Amino acid sequence: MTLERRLVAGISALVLAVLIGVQYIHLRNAQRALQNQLESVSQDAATAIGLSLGVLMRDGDRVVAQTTLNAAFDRGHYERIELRGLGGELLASRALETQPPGRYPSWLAGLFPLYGPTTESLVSSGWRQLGKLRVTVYPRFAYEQLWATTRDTALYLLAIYAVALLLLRLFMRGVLRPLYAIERAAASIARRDYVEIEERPATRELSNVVLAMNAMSRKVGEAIAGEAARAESLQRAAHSDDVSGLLNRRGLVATFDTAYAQDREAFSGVFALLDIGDLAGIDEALGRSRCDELLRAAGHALGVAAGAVPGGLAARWSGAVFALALPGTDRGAALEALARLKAELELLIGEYGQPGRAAVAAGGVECSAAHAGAEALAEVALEALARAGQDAGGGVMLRPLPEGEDGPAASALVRDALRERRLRLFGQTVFSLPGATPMQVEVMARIAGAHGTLLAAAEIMPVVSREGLSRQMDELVVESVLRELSGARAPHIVSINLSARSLAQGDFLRWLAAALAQAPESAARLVFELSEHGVAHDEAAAASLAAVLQQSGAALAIDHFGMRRDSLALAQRLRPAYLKLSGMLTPALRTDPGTRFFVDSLLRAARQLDIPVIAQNVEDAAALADLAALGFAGYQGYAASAPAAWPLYSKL
Amino acid sequence: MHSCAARPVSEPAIRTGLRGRRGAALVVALVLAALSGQAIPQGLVEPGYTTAATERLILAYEKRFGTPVRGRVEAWKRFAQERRGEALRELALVAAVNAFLNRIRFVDDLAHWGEDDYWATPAEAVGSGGADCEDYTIAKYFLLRELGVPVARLRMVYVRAVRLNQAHMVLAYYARPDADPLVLDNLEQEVRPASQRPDLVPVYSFNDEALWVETHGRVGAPQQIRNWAGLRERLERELLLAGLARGAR
Repeated sequence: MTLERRLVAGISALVLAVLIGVQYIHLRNAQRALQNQLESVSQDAATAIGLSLGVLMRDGDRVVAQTTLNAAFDRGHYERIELRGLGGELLASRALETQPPGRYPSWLAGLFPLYGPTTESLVSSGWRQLGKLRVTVYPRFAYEQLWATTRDTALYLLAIYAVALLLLRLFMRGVLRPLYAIERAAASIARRDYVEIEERPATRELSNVVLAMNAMSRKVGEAIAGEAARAESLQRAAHSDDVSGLLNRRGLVATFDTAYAQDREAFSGVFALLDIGDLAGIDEALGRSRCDELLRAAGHALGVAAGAVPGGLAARWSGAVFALALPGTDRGAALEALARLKAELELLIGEYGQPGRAAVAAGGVECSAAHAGAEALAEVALEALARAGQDAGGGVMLRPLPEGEDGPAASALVRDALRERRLRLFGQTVFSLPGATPMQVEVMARIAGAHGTLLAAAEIMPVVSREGLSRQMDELVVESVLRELSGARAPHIVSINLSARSLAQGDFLRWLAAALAQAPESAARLVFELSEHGVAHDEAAAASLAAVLQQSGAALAIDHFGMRRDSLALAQRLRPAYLKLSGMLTPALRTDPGTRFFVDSLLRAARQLDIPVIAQNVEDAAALADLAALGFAGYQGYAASAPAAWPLYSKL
Repeated sequence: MHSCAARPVSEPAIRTGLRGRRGAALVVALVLAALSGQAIPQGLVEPGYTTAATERLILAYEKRFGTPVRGRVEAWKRFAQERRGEALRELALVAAVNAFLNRIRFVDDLAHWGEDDYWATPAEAVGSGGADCEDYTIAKYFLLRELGVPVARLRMVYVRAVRLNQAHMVLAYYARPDADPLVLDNLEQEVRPASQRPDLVPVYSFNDEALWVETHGRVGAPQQIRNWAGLRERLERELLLAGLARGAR
């Protein structure tokens, strides 16, 4: 119940009570006045009839007496009129045989009783006493009058009540409006969205609250912005090549692997290396700064070529070698692009007065849904590059990626498994830091192969990606987990990875919302993880997912976090339940001061946002204390807990 | 409003009552009673009765009306005291009461009380030494009741005084319900049967008993004769003034 409803209900009940009290007092007074009036009527009647009888029945004429009584009685106000002689004998009388029903409800008589008073008067003719007259009044008319009063006042008071309620509501709206703004801001802050309240309430107490909240929001917001900026600059320094302005090798590996090797996405397209060849000679001939200029210009050309393809990446791989990742590009287009780039670079070298040294070679690897890292692809590309150098025909060489296990047989296996819903659920436990107690379980899917062997994610995902089965896979996992959870008493959070490709299919969210709505208790224990790459790829879809999850009681988390310059900004906008730091960063934490500094910055910003961060790929128990000191809320890794077959609850 | 017939000849004031033989005898009796330490036997205290005129009331009324109050009130109390318990015939008692109270000087209400129509209590009428026709009637009514005459035999009667052509009030005493009543009138020293008073035309009569309202078994004070209701209120106040709480009786 809202504060406003409560106040309005309380005050209106009070007003109602007061009005009922007023009505009651009013009716009590009316009752008293009417009772007095009845007594007056009674006495008046007794006096008046007594006087006229004294004049009219001088000789004791009973008929005259009866007639006089009749005349008075028929006015309808009396219940009984009787005239008794000196000895008490009845001389004349009239009484109501039956009491005609009055036009008033019977409960009125119960609540505000009116009594018909009886009065007596002496009847005498001259000095001679004739007898006594008794008049009893019938209170029906008084009741009818009281009932009319009751209705009238009730109507007036109801009108007053309605107006009072209306005014009260308006008043409350005005007074409480700033409170609603505060409540909204508080809810935002609870979601770690540090907004400021623009309206200053007129009341002192609320005004102070708003000032304090705004000051806090501003302070936290500034701190987060500071940490984010620091992390971004660290990231940039660690991942970029100063001379060419492109990514360095490390930057390319991090970006590429996050996008294609770690996640469920696979790389389709061309990964190529371009070798300027005699860079040492050029350097010698031009001098350091001219050579750097040339490299910068070359970098620009590569950057333009990469920018022409969505998701394209360009990097300086090593001294004279540049790397280019062109996702979604087929052989023909890639060959064309590489040839153009080769010509451009050779022209550039010529422009710098070294046409003799302009021998650029390009070698690439052609991938179709490859689930391989940049280093692995570079190895193949290097072989192609070597061949291209030898090849006088043009200096551009593309090789297909050698077939691995994920051949047609694997494809068929995965397809069949999904169709037949043969999925084995595994789970890896996430432990808290410090303390190392189990805090959640990440679901991993396995497919049973021939002879009882199980295919791992690394084997399944390229196929799933290539065959466009992401959505079937995700749905099957969600269904399986919900089935497992129903009725089970899992004390922990269960996390499920979702593919960005599934999200891209419009009705997947509807399906997910419906599935979760059918199992609200299980839904409340679920967290869905999206990769940072996937979130950045389509932030709107991620936001929609977050909304759907929040509505069904589940939550959203970001996996493989920390590989982008705008990582923190993403986290700040999306407000995930937690972040899983990319496993690529974990080993470097203890060896590379730059990475450590960067991660420390990320963690501090996340702490300001009140978002816990979990370390992945933790394989060394000795590092746990260090991770805890850095501020990780938890960790997962094969060393601590290898994926185990479902159900796991007995172990938790 | 009620105007009231005045007696043509003004009688001496009540304190002259002390000069009678009976008065002297009473003084002796009182002195003897005081010497012997015996209190005057206390009668029933009702509002309007002489027994309600205590020392405190006398002092209060002395303050209100002036010094002669004590003598007048004491004479009045003695009158009642002497006759209480005596086996007097009612006719004689009625005549005595009429004669005794008729000694009060007639005064107009407006001149005496500053009100157009003021129904004084017996103690007020006696103490102030002035009354009009209703005050006489009331004082006689209460004194007769105090001395044991049943209420049913007494009627306060609104009459028309034919000779004076004025509205007037007298007390009628009915020995039996169908009897020719005796009329106690401040215009006449003598108490005569109504049949011998052609100068009075009765209009309406009442007594304390016939002036009541019964509502749901509760008998309340009548409001109808407003002056009578006012009188009853003043009688109650007088009891308080006299130091006689209602419950003490």
